Amino acid sequence: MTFLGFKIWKVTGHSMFPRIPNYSFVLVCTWLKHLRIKPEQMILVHHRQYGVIIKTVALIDGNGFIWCKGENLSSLAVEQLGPVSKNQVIGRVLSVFKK
Amino acid sequence: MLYHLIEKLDRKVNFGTAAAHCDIPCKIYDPISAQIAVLTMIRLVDLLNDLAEKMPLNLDQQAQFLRLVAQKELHGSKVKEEISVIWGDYIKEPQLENYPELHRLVHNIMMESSKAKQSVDKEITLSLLTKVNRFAEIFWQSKGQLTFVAQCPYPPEQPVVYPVLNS
Repeated sequence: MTFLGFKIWKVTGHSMFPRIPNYSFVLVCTWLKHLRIKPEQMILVHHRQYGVIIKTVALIDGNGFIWCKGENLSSLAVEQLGPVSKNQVIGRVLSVFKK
Repeated sequence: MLYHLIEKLDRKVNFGTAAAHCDIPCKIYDPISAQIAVLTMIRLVDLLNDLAEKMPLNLDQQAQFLRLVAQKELHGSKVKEEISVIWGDYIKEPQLENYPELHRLVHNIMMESSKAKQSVDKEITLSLLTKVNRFAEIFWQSKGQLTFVAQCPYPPEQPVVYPVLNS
């Protein structure tokens, strides 16, 4: 259910803890992905291997690819996730609703 | 409050799910890695105690000492990591109901791993092995696997809980 480019997503998993605990909800804005994406922003990505995932931007490389990371030590490493292109980004997280 | 409102809304409209998983949900769990890490710690403590008898140490022995201590640290952390992954990812409500000692046991393993890292006391590492073996026993029982205890066929030759696997 999208309203004016805003959509609520349910988050499952622990890799974004403590910023996003398991079973939190996030408000994602789809059109914000067209603005400049910066490190430390949280984004929703359509990953070719892992499906729809939520991660923090680690860096943007010289070719414009986005490298993502989790928020704790047991998350998948940046290099395991690999680079994603801008058109794989679903949107940017605006708010987190924790339990 | 806002969370509960969204949660209620979710029950009606079922929002999409975004995964924040730590690793691929491969369901491959085995406490043997933790057990081997403790056995390694015991072996390293034995080797460190052997070195203690050779005081004063020459340069090669000092290098050996440093390597042994570094490896003991590493394997202490490995015990913690391997147990936490099974505890956090595999252990769920049914296992906790059947084995109410689990939380306390895991906490004790964490504390004893730290203690084993801090000292060169074999008794502590042996006590850690007993706890990790108990964890392994619970793990296999929760999967309906019978277990047996056998002495590992390599140093430090300590009792280890293994699953009975059919060929």
